[in-house]
Amino acid sequence: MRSEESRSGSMRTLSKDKYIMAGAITLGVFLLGLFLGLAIEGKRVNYIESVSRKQNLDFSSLQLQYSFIDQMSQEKNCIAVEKTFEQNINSLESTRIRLENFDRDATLNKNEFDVLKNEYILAQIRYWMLAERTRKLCGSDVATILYFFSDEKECPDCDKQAFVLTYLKERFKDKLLIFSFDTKFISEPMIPLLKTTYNVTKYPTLVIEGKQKENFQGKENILRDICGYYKDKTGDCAKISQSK
Amino acid sequence: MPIPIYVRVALWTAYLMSLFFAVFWFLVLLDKEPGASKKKLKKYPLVSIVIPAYNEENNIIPTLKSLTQLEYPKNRLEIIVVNDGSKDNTKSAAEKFIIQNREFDIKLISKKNSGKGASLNKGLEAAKGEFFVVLDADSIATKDALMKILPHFTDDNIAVVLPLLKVDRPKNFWQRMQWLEYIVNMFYKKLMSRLNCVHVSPGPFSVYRKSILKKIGGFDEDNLTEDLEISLRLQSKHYRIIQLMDAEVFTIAPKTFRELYKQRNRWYKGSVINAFKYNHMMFNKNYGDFGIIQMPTIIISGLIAVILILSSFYYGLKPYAKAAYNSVLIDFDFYTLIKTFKFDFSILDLNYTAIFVSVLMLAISILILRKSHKETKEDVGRHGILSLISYLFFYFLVIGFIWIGIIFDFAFRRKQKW
Repeated sequence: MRSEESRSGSMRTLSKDKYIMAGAITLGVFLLGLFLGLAIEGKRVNYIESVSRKQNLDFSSLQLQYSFIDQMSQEKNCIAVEKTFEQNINSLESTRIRLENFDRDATLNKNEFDVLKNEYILAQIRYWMLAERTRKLCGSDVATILYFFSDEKECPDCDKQAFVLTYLKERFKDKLLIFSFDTKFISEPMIPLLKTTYNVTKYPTLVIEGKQKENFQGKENILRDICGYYKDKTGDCAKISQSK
Repeated sequence: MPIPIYVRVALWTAYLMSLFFAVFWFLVLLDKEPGASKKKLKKYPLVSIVIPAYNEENNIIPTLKSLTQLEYPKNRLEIIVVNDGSKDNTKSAAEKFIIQNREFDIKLISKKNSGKGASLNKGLEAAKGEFFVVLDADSIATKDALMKILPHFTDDNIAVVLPLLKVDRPKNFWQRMQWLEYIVNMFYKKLMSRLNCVHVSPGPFSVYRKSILKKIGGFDEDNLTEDLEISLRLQSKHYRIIQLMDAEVFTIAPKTFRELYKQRNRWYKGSVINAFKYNHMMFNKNYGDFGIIQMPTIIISGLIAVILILSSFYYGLKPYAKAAYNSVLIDFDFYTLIKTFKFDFSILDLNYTAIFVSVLMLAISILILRKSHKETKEDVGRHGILSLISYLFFYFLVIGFIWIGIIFDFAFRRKQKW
């Protein structure tokens, strides 16, 4: 504290205490923010864990339902079970996207999120394999796309590709099943296994009903492929078959 | 998609530095105000008021008139109009006013156009007063300004005393923004003044002790912002500059964005150039708080503004740009997207970092706005809530935009036009 008169000559004062205090308060606020952030991150981990537990249960139940149909030859129940399948896979996808976002912002809980991501990759594979088996069982007219993606550096087009796939999923609903695999996740042995099986070297790569397609595929390209596969060529596929 | 690490570092540095500055000046505010230790004016010292005028035929008369209404003995006032080679009728307007006001000592000096610094030095040569007042021709002093300022020259070391500067009757959006800006600025300068950190003595009614002004060699005639240069020079020689909160002076602010851009481009560019010119004070503790916090602030504030504007644009516009780009891929079939849209939201999805930083910044800004208005004895809502909101959320973009212009100018070495 100084009055206007007290300073004369070339004496300059330095508010050292204020710099230290301001630095400490700034650091304090920063740490407070950091702790709040970590607390929220912890909540996010718990949230995904509990959702994923529930989803695992749903999968077991679904598996059981199909086994039941198979064993008791209850094919008339296929439609109801297929609906459950569709619901499950949608919930799986929305949690996967949420997890992707949480993981991007994560600091200290990166490992927990990675474990959860791993679980979701396995879940995708499980559902895909279940879909392959039940398609024969129920004789359903469903097309599958496997989508291999990577980060922005390796795959600048993946953003576009994901957008187009999401759009097509909205158009075809339960008639189109899309399973996406993060190829950056090499710690899961299933990823390299799938990559060699389908000869994936570039990103994005789509496997549309077993046919491998490298690089970005536009809406029309994908439509042509899946419509070629469908027995029922109405709706979006009607236009395609007309133009041919 | 992850944000590049250098962007994160730049953003966090900008946030933390802004927070540090805010906290520091808040601590200065918490210090008790040193008791107003004014001397009573025992006698009326001779005061010379210099008006540098270049093409000011519309403004010069109201400015001169405000001087004739000053509460100060007429015979202790010397008014000097320096006509800087005006191409309009500034000269004849001033001459007419002189004839009509014979009881005042008003001189008119005419010279070839050579800039404001040179005009002020011409005035300094001619001035006989103990105190030397600079008054831009677009500014109006209130009656009691001089009587309120002079008693603050309590110490021989005090070189300049600055009045409370406000925007004259703001009429449109840009002027109202500047009205608020000046209010906040004055509050900030008052705090600076407490730590002897004032770095600019603007043109409207800055009162100098003439002997000091002469000793340091007058104004720089070849400077973009001679008012900033003189203050840095005074600081480098350890003189004091005091900011008052009670002597009011009104200045006409730029009316359009173009005018504002030109003015600020010159101001900020001048501040960068002069900060480099006096960089020996930067982070130098021989210059006390001025060296440690004020000199770096001159540069850093511009950098922070640029970082904030770039990040605002990046985060604000990128999602829309991407959505527009993507919609081509689906032949603009928004109907499907809207029809199938599922509201899937969890409270955990919110970006808490962004919320934390924004709430903190907003709280600090509101606190500053309130405090500034209180200190300058103004009503916060004087120009409406819309002005306040635009000032809080929009004006920093304007300032940031001007700084980006300056970076471009420096990068491409564009010559400065006055």
